[in-house]
Amino acid sequence: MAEELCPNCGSLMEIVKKEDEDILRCTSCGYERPLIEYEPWDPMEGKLVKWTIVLGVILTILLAAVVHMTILSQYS
Amino acid sequence: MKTITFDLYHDGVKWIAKNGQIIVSGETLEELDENLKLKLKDMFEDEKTIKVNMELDYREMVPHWMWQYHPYYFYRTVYLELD
Amino acid sequence: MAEERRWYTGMFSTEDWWAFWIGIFFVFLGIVAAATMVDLTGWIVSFGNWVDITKSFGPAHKGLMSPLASLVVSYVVFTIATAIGAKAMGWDVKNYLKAWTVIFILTTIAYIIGQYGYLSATSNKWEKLGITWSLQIGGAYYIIALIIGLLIGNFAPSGFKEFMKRAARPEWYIKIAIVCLGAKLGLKAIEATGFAMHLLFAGVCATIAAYLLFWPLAYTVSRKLFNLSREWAACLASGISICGVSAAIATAGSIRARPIVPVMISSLIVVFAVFELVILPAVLVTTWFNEPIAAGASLGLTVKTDGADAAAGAILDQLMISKAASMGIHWDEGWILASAIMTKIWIDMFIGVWAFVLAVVWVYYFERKPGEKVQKMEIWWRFPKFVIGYFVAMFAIMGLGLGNVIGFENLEFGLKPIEGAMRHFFFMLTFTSIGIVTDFRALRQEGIGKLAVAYAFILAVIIIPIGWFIAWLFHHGMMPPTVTP
Repeated sequence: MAEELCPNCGSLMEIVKKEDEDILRCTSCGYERPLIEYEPWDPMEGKLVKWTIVLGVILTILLAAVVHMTILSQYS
Repeated sequence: MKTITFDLYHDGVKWIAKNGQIIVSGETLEELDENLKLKLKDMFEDEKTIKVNMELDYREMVPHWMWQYHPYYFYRTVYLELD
Repeated sequence: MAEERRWYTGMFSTEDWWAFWIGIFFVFLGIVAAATMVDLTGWIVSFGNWVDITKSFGPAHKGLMSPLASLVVSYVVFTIATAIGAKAMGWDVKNYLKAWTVIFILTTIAYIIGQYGYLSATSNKWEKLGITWSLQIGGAYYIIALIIGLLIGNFAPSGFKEFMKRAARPEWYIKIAIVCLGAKLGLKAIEATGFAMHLLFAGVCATIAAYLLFWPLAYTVSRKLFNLSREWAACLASGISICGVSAAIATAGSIRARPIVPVMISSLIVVFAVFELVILPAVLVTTWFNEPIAAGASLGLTVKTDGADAAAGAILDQLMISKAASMGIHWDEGWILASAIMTKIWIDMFIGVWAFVLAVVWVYYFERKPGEKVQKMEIWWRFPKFVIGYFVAMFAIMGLGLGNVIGFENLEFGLKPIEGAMRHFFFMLTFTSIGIVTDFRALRQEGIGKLAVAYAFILAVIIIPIGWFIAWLFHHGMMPPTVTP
């Protein structure tokens, strides 16, 4: 199911601590690999994040202005 | 265009696609697609492109307490060029 | 055997659709009762403040039948309705029914205890109850149900716990309750159309703004500060900034992550959601009493999972109303809850859109595979169907009332038991179930440490502060309508 099997021998891998890191270790053959692997930052991630924030800021300002003029002004 | 739909599983090591007697696997989805191409090429010699749908067997792969939160995991559609 | 996915796939096999079917059935029953003035809904058991325990519950329409009869009839009818859904979804119905019966009984007990006059009656009810004081703990019954559930979820033998989980379906029950809430909003909107529409529009605007700010910030912090890989960061960012478990699963599916990723993140979300639903309403009623609607909306933006958000909204509604009543202000019940639900519902609807965006980025860029296409139908497949029930209920009732097709008093007659007694009871079932499925020991699971720290940091530093600001920006000054006590 949502468990990891060893790519080496197919046995169940368990999550253990090695130094400061959480790793997956095979209970049979000892094969190890990090639970959460490090991946370097990709330029595409930068674009996704940047443009989402830009859109978010622009829409926050625009929508806040619309809501204030049409709705909130009636409650102040 | 011919369309085939597979149930998809992950056994912790590799992805497995099943449709009745057709069973194909691969450690990555890319490898799975390549293996599918080879298998389907043998079976459907006259077809140039086949549309392959694969739905991950949600109830096998995800604990039952999580099913109520979302109706399915993923459904992929791949157009395999067989020539 | 796998079948090609269609637009109607899952219509009779998922909790989401069954929340729609069951909720809409009862709303429809209420409308028929309103149109014909035949009492089809007054049997629903309703619980109220009591000092004499024999008066702790009874039919929603007093005098229709004895209290015990209304409880039994409610049990039978709700059991049949949910069992039909369970059967259609392929559950083990026998085990479901046994566990459901236990949950029903425990919820009833919690409701009775929580409604004890000296515990929760607001001051405007003291005279009627013949008392001169009470602790005025609004929503005490919700907390008692939650505690009972948590005791089972954390201390019961694992066999019993697993047995109970067969019917502990907080998301299903709350979705049914939310469809009933749509009926409530429909009735309220007839009297206060302007305010209801304002809440709707302000809610969608707040959600869009918050969503587009939460996700990229949560993702960046997960990647850069906590060094999570893309699949972990994307799922965590969605789970914590959008809508909890459903967003984590939708994102994991969209980016083709290993199932272990959403499963681990979801077990964290469920635990943190309980902390939020207990802590945030108490903080908000103390610090933000002067902005009740903004406070409610902030819950929709910050509390993850529909169940926990609705639960928190219900508690906040009761706490705020109790506090206001003690000051002589009588806010209409349900509007603060509605503001919490409104933002959450809009967020639910955007899950599909964002999952589609991420699928496009991942499939066409990060994990590019020749020939793979992302289907636009993903947006519909991931769309929360119970929300359709909510809006159908709301607009159908509004339309019938504002169009003078059925008189307002008639609509109240038929629908008040649904939007009142039934909704409250399904909220109570949600609280009990949330407790049962929440195991705090999940926090001690191997591998969860880094994720838990990342989650807590992002929640405290990004989600809650920005959520509160956005809720204030789009709702400040809005106050719930008042009623004559």
